[in-house]
Amino acid sequence: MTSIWLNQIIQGILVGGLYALYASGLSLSVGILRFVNIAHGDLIILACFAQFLFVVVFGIPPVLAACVLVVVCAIVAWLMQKYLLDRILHHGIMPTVLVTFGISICIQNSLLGVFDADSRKVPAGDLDIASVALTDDVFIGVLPMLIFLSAVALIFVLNYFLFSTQIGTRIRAVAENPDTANLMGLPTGRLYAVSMAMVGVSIGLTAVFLSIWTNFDASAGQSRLLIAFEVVVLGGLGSLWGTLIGGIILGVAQAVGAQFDAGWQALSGHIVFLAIFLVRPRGLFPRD
Amino acid sequence: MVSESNKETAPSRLFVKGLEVRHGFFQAVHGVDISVAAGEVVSIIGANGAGKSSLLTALMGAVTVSAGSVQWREQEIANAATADIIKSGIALVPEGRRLFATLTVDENLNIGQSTGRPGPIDKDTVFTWFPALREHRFRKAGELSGGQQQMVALGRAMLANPEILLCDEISLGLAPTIVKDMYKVLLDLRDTGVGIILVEQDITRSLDVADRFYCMLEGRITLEGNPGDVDRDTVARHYFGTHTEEEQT
Repeated sequence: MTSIWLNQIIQGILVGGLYALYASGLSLSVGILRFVNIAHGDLIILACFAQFLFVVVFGIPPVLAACVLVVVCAIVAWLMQKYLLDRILHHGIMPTVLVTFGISICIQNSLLGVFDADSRKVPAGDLDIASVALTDDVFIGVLPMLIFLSAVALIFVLNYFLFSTQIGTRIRAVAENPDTANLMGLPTGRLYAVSMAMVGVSIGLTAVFLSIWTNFDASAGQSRLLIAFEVVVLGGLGSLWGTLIGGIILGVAQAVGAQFDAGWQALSGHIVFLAIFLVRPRGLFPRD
Repeated sequence: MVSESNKETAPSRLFVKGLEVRHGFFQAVHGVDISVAAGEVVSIIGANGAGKSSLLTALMGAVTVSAGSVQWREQEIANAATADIIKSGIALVPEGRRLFATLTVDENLNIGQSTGRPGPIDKDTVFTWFPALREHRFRKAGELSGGQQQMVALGRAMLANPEILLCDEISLGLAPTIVKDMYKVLLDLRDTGVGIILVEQDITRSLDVADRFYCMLEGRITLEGNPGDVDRDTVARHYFGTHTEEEQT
């Protein structure tokens, strides 16, 4: 009996890695760039379809396709910041919400037009079912484990980049006060573009794993956005390690809820989020 | 009323001619002429709202110059990019310090150094001038006392290795002993050949150390000269605007 619960908790922790991946990009844009990207979930789904095209339609080897996808996402995010978001970022929160909401609608409808409403999945061969037995009843899937370790690695790299490099220091300076950064001669626009490229890397990596983890369709982005927001708020704005913890809490809450009743899976995640939000409105690890 | 000093021939001199700054419909600076040379301290005094900060931020390219010229090393730098102005050897200690509070002292200093020019001043120099900063170098700038924060702001600007340093109200709200220490560092810096513009509301201290001064009122220069040649009464009348038109320079 205990092993059932143990199993659910372990699966929950591992799913939390996937949630942390969704949220790491949003954590960067909301916590560091101070801009709310409503299109974050749709950008992930768009990247999933790109990976689907690369692997299933063009037949590019999956690992190569994944590398190409991450680079393409970084470039697209960089261009999006430089030519679109940079024009609206300094005019308060409303223009960014409206523009990214518009991007979200455009992506959803374009995907619907091109791919119809059918759901897709990128096959992962043996990786789909490979697992390691911990005990007779507790198994760890290789794919969930890989996703979890990737999330930890991504957050480690992003943290190193932000806190231990010169460009990371400058990005945090711009994030704290763009006007002062301008007065100090920092290349504000370029720093925003570099940060957005980092968000692009996280979107690409998330899409690589999401596309083999589960079915996705044109409208799948919104629920991903909701989870990403909950994870970011749970972890505390701007704290990337907090994002990982937030993802794990949400993953475990859903897994445990699902063990009571399959219908409770999503709801129990939201309830736990609300409960923690009530007690700690600034999240578990608020940055300053 | 007092003739220009004979430093006119000095090699590096920043010339500001007919400078105007507008904030929307409000004109903050009306045709201001000033100059500062390497190795001299020029004080700009004036009451709150006289246009002193607008003048300095315009020199840094951070607000738009609507008319006039800024000549520096035979180049026009009015409305140039701030980054280029700093690289050309002009740095600002902004009003209210404007530190990055969530960054450490060290990181704040690194930003000043990395946006500036190569030169003799490095972090060790700054720590020698302000030993307290070495002690607190890995603390967040926002956690320091006001005086220490002002030292970080000064250090950050000095690390750009400027030839002209613009200081905006650096003594505001600080204890007199701290202000005395900071002024001593500024004079040391001047002795290495750096030109300094001191903007202050506190007349006494800045006139004590200045080679020349300008008094601003409502966006215009109402008086300029050498501090030794003008009595405090005259300065006060131009500062508060109670001087007569004949006295106008």
